[in-house]
Amino acid sequence: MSDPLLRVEQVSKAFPIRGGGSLQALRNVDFEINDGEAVGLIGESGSGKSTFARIVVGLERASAGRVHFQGREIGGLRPRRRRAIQRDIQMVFQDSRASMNPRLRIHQIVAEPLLTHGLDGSRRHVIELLERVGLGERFADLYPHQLSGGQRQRVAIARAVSTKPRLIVADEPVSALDVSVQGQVLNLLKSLQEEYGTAFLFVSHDLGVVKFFCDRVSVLYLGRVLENGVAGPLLSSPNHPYTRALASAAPSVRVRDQRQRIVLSGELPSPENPPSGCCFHPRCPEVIPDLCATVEPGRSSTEPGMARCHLLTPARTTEGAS
Amino acid sequence: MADVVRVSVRRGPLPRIRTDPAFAIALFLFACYVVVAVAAPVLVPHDPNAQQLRDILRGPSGSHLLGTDEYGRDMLSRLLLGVRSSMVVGAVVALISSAGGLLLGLVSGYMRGVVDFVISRIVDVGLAFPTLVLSLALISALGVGSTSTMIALSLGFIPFSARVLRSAVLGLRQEGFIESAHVTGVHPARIVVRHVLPNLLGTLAVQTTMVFAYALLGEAGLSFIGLGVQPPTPSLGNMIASGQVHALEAPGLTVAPGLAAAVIIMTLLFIGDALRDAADPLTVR
Repeated sequence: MSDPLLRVEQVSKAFPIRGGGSLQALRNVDFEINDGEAVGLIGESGSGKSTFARIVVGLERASAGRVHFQGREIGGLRPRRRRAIQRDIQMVFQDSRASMNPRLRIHQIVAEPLLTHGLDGSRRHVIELLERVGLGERFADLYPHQLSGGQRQRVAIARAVSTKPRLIVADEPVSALDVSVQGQVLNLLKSLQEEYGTAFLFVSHDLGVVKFFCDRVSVLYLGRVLENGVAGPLLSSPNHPYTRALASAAPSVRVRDQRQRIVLSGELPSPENPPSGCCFHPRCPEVIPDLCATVEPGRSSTEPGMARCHLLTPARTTEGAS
Repeated sequence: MADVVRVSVRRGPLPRIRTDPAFAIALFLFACYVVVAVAAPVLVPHDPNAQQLRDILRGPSGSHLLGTDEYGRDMLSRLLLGVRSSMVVGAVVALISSAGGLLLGLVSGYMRGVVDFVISRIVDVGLAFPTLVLSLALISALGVGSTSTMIALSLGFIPFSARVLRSAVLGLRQEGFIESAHVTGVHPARIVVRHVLPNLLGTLAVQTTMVFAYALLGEAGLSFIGLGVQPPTPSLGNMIASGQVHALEAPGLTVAPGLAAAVIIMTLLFIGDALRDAADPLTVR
């Protein structure tokens, strides 16, 4: 197989904090998206998933590591070169209202990426795009605040697909919407993905949404990838205790599905002062005394992908079986 | 899918006239002052500098509606021309300091880094001096007169406008739609013109009217102590100064220009307030 569309290698991001020290938002993250693939990034608030999305689209610079897009290093590009690449990387934000200039009309908002990259920004083309996302011509002359949240997110999607990008970074694109509207917007994204073959980096904390939308998933905790792999198997039978806890906490409508809920104790530790060893050990229900607090687990390959947990290292597995 | 949510879009500050009588009155008064400022040379009933030494310090009469001053000059004519010279100083100062403040605020708020640091420290120094003291120093260097008054006051107010606009730009930089434009690959110059500037207009309008008001006050102060507009050319400040000597016999000589100054300053503050509300299309009435 050829190069993946997006390959992120060993990316770290540290934010300096007032009074010295730094906040380690991401640590040695590896991540790949192939052409046309939808990859989910899940984690709690503060896990670094939005920071990761912002590095991919160029709103932040990684402190270390490399970001390759279509085989080119783009992390350190000069602004001018970088802007040209943005035609192929667009973004859908969580807060559709904030992501639109309140003084521009919908047709101007959708036309902006087209005009920026020298494409057809005519009103007719913009209306075609609006119709493609289920909005009609009557929306073209309205202002963003005159639309409902779902309608605005459709506009944001029309704007994002307008340049036919290879990759769309969607940062919690449906989490601000009502559940009924969430479904419509997800179906729209899915159909556009199939139509254009666009790859997605889909950031979410909603496992159900990720399971529906994504081919593969990475689980982020305190800026580290704890587990990744093919979405279906990973979310239905997770290997890492953290993913298990996340999966058990996702609500389910069927009574039979009610699994034992794993309740994590305590809060997400501060990324300013991450725990030693395995970063999950203070909250892990299956913590191995001594080992987890001191030694950071390496990668273990699993059925759907990889996980970092001492429970999965071969030595441990045999020991546990005996 | 839900129908389009109907929200009235406000096209500008003008519809406010119908709902806000204070704004309507303020606009009307401002228009009157502008007309006077523009047309004063035509409107004056008498030559403002013609002295009638037999008719000094007269009260209002048919031929002199506001009476005469200590040289027997027609007060009404002098007042109209005084308003004119004060308004010119105020408007010029407001425009120059807004333009300068906008430029500095945009550059330092948008570029950040070293540029921002240097500009901000210079602005801090400017803010550390009281505007009038700074203006006094500048006038003593430039020489007395209305042109140097305008230059001195403009320079004195630029730091205020720069500070206000810089913080507005800093706030806008964090907005999702600016980030979205960056992600889209929009050129920074275009982001400034299309996304930052239009959203700064409200702040700019408020700042400009405020500076207009304070510049009128500053001009009056400087002219009062004899550093601003030079007699015999009337200005609200030098009229108050020359009138105060006769405050007991002819209180009108100070009250009339004083009132004229107070009214225009209050008018400008009202308008600034209304513009601030109107500039934000999301403000709910």
